[in-house]
Formats: sequence, structure tokens, C-alpha cells
Amino acid sequence: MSPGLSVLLLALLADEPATQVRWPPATVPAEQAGETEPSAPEGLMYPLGALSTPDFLAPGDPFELVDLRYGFSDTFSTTHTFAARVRVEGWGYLGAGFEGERKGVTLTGPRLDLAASGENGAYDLLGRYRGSWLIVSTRARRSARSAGGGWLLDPSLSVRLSPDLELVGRVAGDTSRPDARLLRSASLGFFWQRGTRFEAAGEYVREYVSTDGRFENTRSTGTVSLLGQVRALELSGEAFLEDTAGPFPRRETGGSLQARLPLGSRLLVEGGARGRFEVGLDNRSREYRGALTWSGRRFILPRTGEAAERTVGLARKATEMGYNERRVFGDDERRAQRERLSLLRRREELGDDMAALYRAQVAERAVPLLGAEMLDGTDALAGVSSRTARLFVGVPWPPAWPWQASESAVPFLRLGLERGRETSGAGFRAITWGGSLTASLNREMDLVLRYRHIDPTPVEIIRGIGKRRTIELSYVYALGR
Amino acid sequence: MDRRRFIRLAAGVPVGLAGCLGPGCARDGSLVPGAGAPSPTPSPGNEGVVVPKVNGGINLQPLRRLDPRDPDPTIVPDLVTLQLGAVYELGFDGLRVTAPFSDRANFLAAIPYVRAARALGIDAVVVLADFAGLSLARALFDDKRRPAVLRLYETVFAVPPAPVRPGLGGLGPGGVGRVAFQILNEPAHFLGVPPEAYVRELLTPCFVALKYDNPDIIVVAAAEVGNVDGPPRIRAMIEAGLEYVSDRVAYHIYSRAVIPLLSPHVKSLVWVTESGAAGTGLHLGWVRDTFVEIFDRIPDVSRIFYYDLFDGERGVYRLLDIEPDGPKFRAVVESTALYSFLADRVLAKAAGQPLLGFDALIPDIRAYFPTAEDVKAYDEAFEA
Repeated sequence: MSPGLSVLLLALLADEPATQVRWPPATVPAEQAGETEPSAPEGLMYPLGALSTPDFLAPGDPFELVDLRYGFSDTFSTTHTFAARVRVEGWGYLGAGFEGERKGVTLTGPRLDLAASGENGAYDLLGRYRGSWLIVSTRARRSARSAGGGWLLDPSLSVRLSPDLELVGRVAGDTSRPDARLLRSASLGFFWQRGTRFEAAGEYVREYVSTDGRFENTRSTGTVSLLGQVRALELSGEAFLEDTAGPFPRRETGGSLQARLPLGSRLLVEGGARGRFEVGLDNRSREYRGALTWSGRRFILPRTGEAAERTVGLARKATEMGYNERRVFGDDERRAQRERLSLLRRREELGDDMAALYRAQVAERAVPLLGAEMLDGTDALAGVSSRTARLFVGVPWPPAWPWQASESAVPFLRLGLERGRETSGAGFRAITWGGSLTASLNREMDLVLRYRHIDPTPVEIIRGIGKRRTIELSYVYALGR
Repeated sequence: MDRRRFIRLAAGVPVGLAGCLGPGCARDGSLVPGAGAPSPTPSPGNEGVVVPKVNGGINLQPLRRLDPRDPDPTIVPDLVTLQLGAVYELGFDGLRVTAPFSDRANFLAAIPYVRAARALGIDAVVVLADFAGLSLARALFDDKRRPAVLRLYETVFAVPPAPVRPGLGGLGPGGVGRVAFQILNEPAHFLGVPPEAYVRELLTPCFVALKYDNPDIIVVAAAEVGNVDGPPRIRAMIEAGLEYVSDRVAYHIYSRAVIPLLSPHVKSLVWVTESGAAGTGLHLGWVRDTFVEIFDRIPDVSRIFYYDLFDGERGVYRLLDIEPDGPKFRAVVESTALYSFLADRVLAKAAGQPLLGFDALIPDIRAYFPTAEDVKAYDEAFEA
């Protein structure tokens, strides 16, 4: 199917009014939940018209298309990607797709996720079972025969000790037994969520790293990460200490810090830094980032609004019912969670909460109109420094000037420009120019066109790779996003 | 102008640093030391012994003309004699010189240095590197071009010359010096090639090809920059398997701070292919004390190449200066304290025996100049 045809068909599909719209009462009363009174998604107009709240509990009949993605990327050759997922009655989601030579299928059931993909004799398998207080997951990757043909196994176990706290353990093994050792890594960590405004995670990992130098390094890493919403300011950070034992023992440390702060109702300021240091040496690598975003309506950080409160309420309620869900604050994660919950035996009890969360998400949608971002980094190991600048201009729907605020605005067009410079070696510079145009036809449907002109880096010139132009076009339809 | 700028500058123009033994030389062929600097003055005739090789290795530029902007590709014989005479008379057992593939004049200019040094029993490390640009690295990566390029270096530099006399003490056939090929120079610093990519995509195929053609060639891995950025890159190279695709691991050391960071736990022999101190007044202390510290703290190090004999920047790294002197050139010792230190070691080792002069062993350096076959081989390889 051509992209144009699929756009038309899916626009028609998306415009079809839902037959069973479920609506509040929400679990969390609106006056407790936050400042925003959610506006009904039906009241918003998109370029393709109004969009109703999906019925998250409606079974497929027998199938309902929930995902359709198509894209192509052309550089030296053209790569096509395609993925589709359907809801199969009320028992699961079935997906299939390909990207170039890689083909895969996915199956999501009430408590079970399965995925398999393969490319030229290499396979990637995933199985995950979600119990009432634990999640058991195993990934198995088989390399192609030409690469040894062994299996990499990554089982993990997450045990929920309370609605707020999980313990997570992982091991990894390699059946090809590098350095005569099956076990490659083991880790133990925790993940703690308190309300909407605080998260903490910690992990200790011990790894056995086989090198091409025919010796093994033993690496121990401790990591702590925190995220906190302090009034209007969102702060997140991570710190680690990594100790490597082997012929070249060393200790490295580092971390990151990011901040997001709305200034007024429509301006968002972001900044961050990331660094990695080797004890006894200079800075090993660092990166700084700063960004300004001007929005067409009030900007709400993901952990401050009603959607955040409803996320907490939904996850807590699901966990109390034995469905073991984390609080998730991104649109895609929330959608995946809703899909899982909509397959459960007691899904009717969660339907209103899911719909209310969706309405709150829609009410808190971001409508970015102008933005600038600057990134600056160096990597002393590779001898590379880079600087990237990005600008974008957005047009809302209905169209309005950037200085005009409208609470009924939705994102429509977004034109982005990017210029990157990478300096390496004895002053070799590689410049990258890029532009993108995103058309959000409605909340569930995007068309994206990207173009990039890329100068080769010195190592690419050595490899015989010259200047190149990349054109990408993608279409995304995601029901209930 | 720092050392790296000099190298880059030299890439853009034919290096024309040249010298000949001018009227001020202490004998027909030896240097003019600075005030108070003793010289291991060789015997003027054919009586005596070969200068003992007691001072490790040294880096030198493939001087062709003294003026680096001089486009004339002609090699001034006296400049070669002047530099090589210093290497021989100061008792160095090895020299390291770059033969830039994409720079025809300087590639050919490196030939007499390598051949004559080996004929004297001095090892020659030929650096396969361009002074600027990526042409050689590109050719070494390319499966189709690599064989021709490596064959050129083998043909021109790896064929052992006849020894100038028996008993030179070199470790090559007949007592001549050995040849070693160092595959590129500071690949991350100069070329932007990450350590793992260098080992896997450049060093490994070159090592395999060179060893297949001529197992006697010593393949030296590239070193990385000699400050604290270097050790992590070297470590990454060794973790990528460098020791299994080279005969020598190479370090550059320009800071004492890197010495403890260069782990002793390597399996190969280590050559420190560049080491020196910026500032003439620091030279003696660097060689006398820091070289000892390097040997003590990195037991795998078997040889250090001092940086350098001559370059265009006064008062920084060079041991001597070369000046025009009428129609010829003369060398003036700039780092007199280090020169005296090196000369004293030669004299002490000689224990009063008369030393054979460079001119007595190589009366005409032109015998080692590029031949028509060399030029043809170069042109064919470059066209390929």
C-alpha cells in the first residue's frame, strides 16, 4: 500500500466514532488530581477532524487495527520498514513487521508478552510473564553462524515488594562461553516510586568482559539515579562508579544532571550535563545541553498535572488487583499499559480510570511552537568533539501566530532544522545539515519527512564512505496514543 | 610552533630541511658542538672501531631541502650526511623516520636515511604515515590498494643493504640494521580513527599482509598521543587485540604523568617511539632521569626513541640546529648538555679506542639515494 493510500484509509478509520466511550467518574477526583480540568478530547479539532476517546476495552471484531507504521529511508540504498498490530478480539494484540531484511512478530496477552525477530540466521526472542508480584523476563539472542552461532541469554526477575518498590535481578549468559565462562553478568537493583514526584533507582552490576586481547576484565558498577519534581522544577540525575579489574585496572566515575523548568506558562527551559571521568586522568567525556521551548498553550511537566495523578491511581489500582504495574509518565508507555490492562479479566474495573487518564493526557498535550537546542560534547578517548544546534517552528491547529495562545490548539506542523559539527583528528570537520517536517494529522497519526546531508568523518573517509544524503519518510498510526 | 604543527606544516610542503658538513665542522663530517660540549670525534682514517650503539633510538625528519617551502624535489646529499652522521656518531642504535606515501618527494627522501642507517647496523623504523590527509590510511584500509602500497614499502625499504663493513653489530642479515614498519602515527590524534577501528580495520590487515610477504619485517603498532589522553587509547587498542597483530607495542611519552598509567602488563615488547621534553634546558634531565624512570616502571620497554634530532622550532625539542653556511650547511648543537651526555656515553663505551668516522664508512651518501626502480615502484603504487 502506498503511503498516500494508507493515510487516506486510516484517516477514515480514525474518524469513525467509537461505539463505546467510557467516561468518568475517575478513580481520582479532579479537584484532588491537579489544576487542570480535562477538556473532552471530542471538543478538539484536528486537521482530519474531531477525534473521540477510544474505547480501550472494546474487543476486536475479530480484529482491530491499532498500529500501522510504514517508512522508507534512502541513503545509498532504500530500506523499507513496515509494522502492523491488531487487537484480536479481547485476548491479545498480534503484530508483524519488517525492517529491511529483519522480520518479526509480537504477541501481547493479558500477562504474557512474546516477540521473535530474525535476520540472516540471527534471531532475537523475548518472553515476559507478569505475575501479581513478579515479572519474569527472558531474552535470547542467537548470533548468525558466521559470528559463532552462540546464544546470549538475559533472564531477569522483578519482585514487587510494595506498590512503590521493586527489586530487580538480572543475569546474562553466553553459550559460546568466552573465556570458558557461561555467566557474563549479574545485577541486583531496586526501583522506588513515591507519589508522582519522586523516583529513585539503584543497581549493582558485575560483568565479565571478554576482550579481543584474549583476556577478561571484571567490571563492577554501582549506579544511583534520582528524579524529583521540586515545585515547578524537574530535576533528574545519575551517578555511577565503575571499577575495572584486569591487566589495565581503572576506576571511572561520572554521572548526569538534567533540569526542566517552566518559566511562565508557555516557556520551558531545559539544561543538562553529562560527564565521565577516569580517576587520575582528565575528563574522559562530557556533554552539555541547553534548550528553550515556546509553547502554544500552557506547558505542563509530565509529573505535575492531573495525568500524573491519574497515572499513579491507575497503576496503584491495577497493582492492588494483582496486575503489577509501574507508574509510567510517557504517552507511549501509558498506551502500552492501557493495552495490557484492557486484556485483563477484571478490565471493566479499570476502564474508567484508563479513559480518565487518556482525557488528562489530551488535556495536558504539549503544543510546541518555537524551540532552540544546543548540544556540545567531547570524547577524549576517540578524540572527537561535537556541537549541534537545532531549531524548530511549529504551527498549531487551528493555525495561529506563535505569540497567540489557545487552549484548544493541537500540534499540526513542525519544521525542524539541525546543524551538527564533529571535529576529530588533526582538525577534520564533518558537517551535518538536516531538516524535518512533521505533520500531525491528529493525535494518532503523523507523517514525517526528514532530509539530512552528512559529511563523512575521517574514519568514514578511510572506509570509503563519502558525502551522503538521506531522505526518510514515515507514516505512523497509533490508536489510543 | 609546536611539534604537531611542525608535522602538519611539513605535510603541506616538501620538507626541505637539509644540511651538509660545513666549514665549521669539527672534522670532515662531525658536528659543531656548543661551547664546552665534547664530541666523540671519530678517527679521520680507516683505523678504529665502529661507534658503539649505546644511546637508543632517535627520531629524525626526512630532510631534503632546508627550506620547507622549496618545491625542488632534489635531495641535498649533504643534509642526509649531516643528519645520519649525527645519528651514527652519537651512538644511536635506531632511527625513526616517516615515509609519507602521498608525498612523493618526501617519500623518496626517506630512502637514503633508511638504507644508509641499516648499512651502518642501525635499525630503521619507517613510519607508514602521511604528514597530512587521509590518503595512506584510506589505501591501507582498501583491500584492493593495500597490497600494492605495502609491497612498495617492502620493495623500497625492507630489502637489506650490504653492510658497510663486517662487525657492525646490527641484528639484521650480515650485521646490518633491521627494518620495522610502524603502521600510522597517533591514529586518533592525527586521523580521528578510534582505537578499536585502528586495530581491527587498519593494523590487522596490514600485519597479516606484511607477515605473509616477509616475516622478517618488524610490525610496530601506532602509538597514541604522549599526554594523559594517550594511555586510555592504548589500553583500548590492546583490549581490541593489538598485541596479536603487531610485533611491538608503541608508546609516546611526553609527560611523566603518563608513565604510571602505561601498564606493565603487556605481552609484547614495547618501544617508546617518541619521548622528549619541550624546552632545551629540560632535555638532559629528561633523557638522563626520565628515560631511566620509563625503563624502571615499564619493564616491557626495550627501546626509547628520543624526539628529535632536528626540526624547525628553536628551543623546544631538537638536539641540533642546521644553518646555511655559504653554499653548504652546518649543524650547531643546540641542546649542548644532552649532546655532551650522549657523547660521553659513547666515549666511555669506546674506552679510548679510536672510532671510525661516518665518512670513512659512507664516503658518498648518494650510493643510497632513490634509484630509477624506486621511483618507478613509487609511481606505479601511487597510480594503483
